[in-house]
Amino acid sequence: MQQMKENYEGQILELQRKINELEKESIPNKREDEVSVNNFDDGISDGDNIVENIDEAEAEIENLKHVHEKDEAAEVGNQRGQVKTFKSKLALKRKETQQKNVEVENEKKQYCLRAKAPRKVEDAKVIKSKTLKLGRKKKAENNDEIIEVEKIVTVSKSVDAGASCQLRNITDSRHYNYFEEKEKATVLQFFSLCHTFSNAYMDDTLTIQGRLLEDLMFDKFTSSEVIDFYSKWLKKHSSEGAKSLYVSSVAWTHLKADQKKCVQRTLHDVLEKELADDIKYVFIPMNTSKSRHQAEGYHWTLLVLNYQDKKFEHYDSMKPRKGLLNLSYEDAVVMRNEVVDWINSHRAETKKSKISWLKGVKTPTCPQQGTTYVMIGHKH
Amino acid sequence: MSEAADDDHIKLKIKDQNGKEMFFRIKRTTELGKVIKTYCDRQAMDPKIVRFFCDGQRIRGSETPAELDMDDDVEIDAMIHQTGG
Repeated sequence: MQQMKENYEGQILELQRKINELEKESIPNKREDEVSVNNFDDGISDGDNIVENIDEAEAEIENLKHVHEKDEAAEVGNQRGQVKTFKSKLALKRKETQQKNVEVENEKKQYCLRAKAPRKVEDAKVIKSKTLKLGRKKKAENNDEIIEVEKIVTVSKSVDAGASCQLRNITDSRHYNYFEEKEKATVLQFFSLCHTFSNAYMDDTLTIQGRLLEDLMFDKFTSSEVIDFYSKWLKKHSSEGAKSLYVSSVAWTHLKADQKKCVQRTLHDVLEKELADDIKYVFIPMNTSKSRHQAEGYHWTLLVLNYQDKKFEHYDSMKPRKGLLNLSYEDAVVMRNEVVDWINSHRAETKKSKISWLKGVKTPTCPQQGTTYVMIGHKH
Repeated sequence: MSEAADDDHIKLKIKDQNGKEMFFRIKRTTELGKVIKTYCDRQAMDPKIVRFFCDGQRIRGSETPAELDMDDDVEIDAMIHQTGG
């Protein structure tokens, strides 16, 4: 559109230049004609040949003059006609360009409307099993087109702009080399084809999106979903010697937010259903915020109930220095009391013997996070 | 208001982690995705990073109150995805 407009404007300029030239030419032509007629007169008067009949000569001169005048008039007329035709052409061109401009404007408006229209976020294929399988390649053609239009018209209206984007190149991750060769291929395929909001895994309780895996692989914050998935995987693949119970990683957050029904479901129901006497460990992942009333998570720690020894252990990979407030530990104590209270009351209800718990929560030594990579998920 | 109208609609309460509450009134046959979207718009949150629980069970946007057999004045818990390092 822009190019066409420029072309038309160029043509208009050319035409105007031509008109100017023609108008200039038409005036000197006239003068030249006059001069030539004068010369002709002079020639006759100064000439050596004696013209016998002066009247004839004069008549001839007059004829010639007339002819010249006629020619002149005709020429000027022609030129003026040409100018007129050029001018009319120019007017036509101007009209056309105006029309084109209107069209351009209309198309711009249409593009704007299209850009404002909500984009469909297509669901990618759900992928199951531990090793990631391929997600369906998304049809990004429509989206791409609209994004380009947005760039041209500079409409920055869309909320979704840049929401779903390509995952980072997995080979840049320092964890990539730890994969087995078979896994490498599938992981590579997933990261090259899927977007940040494609589902990598989905079942009735968990949905893991591509961006969570990206965060995991590039040492960013670990999501509760990833931890839950790992719990599930461990449960499925655990050796039969050590029976363990895995509590959801959001149980503590629900407890902290005083969402009673959620706590009931994520913690109490699980304990009631699965806490048999032969359970050896209960793993409770906990997310500690920097402040007490902050919804945003900050650091993962792990509270372990050794059910055989009746003791709690709290694993924190980022212990504060001595004398500083240990928020994670305080959280762990609260959680411990909650679990102990529930188990005690439950055992009282079912008329089982009381448990003599070891007091407090132990803090065994565990590997600490380096300062370079602060955001490594803490898991056993 | 007539009883029939009351049967059609239910009142919802969405409560976030900080205890802040927001009330909604919807038809039993309306998908909860609409409520979720409105809530997230009001709270300026991305619906993709918030999870909603009714009686401790995760709610999906495609479900309706009728399907979940919700009572009137039901309470829904909103929770932002938990992340940590």
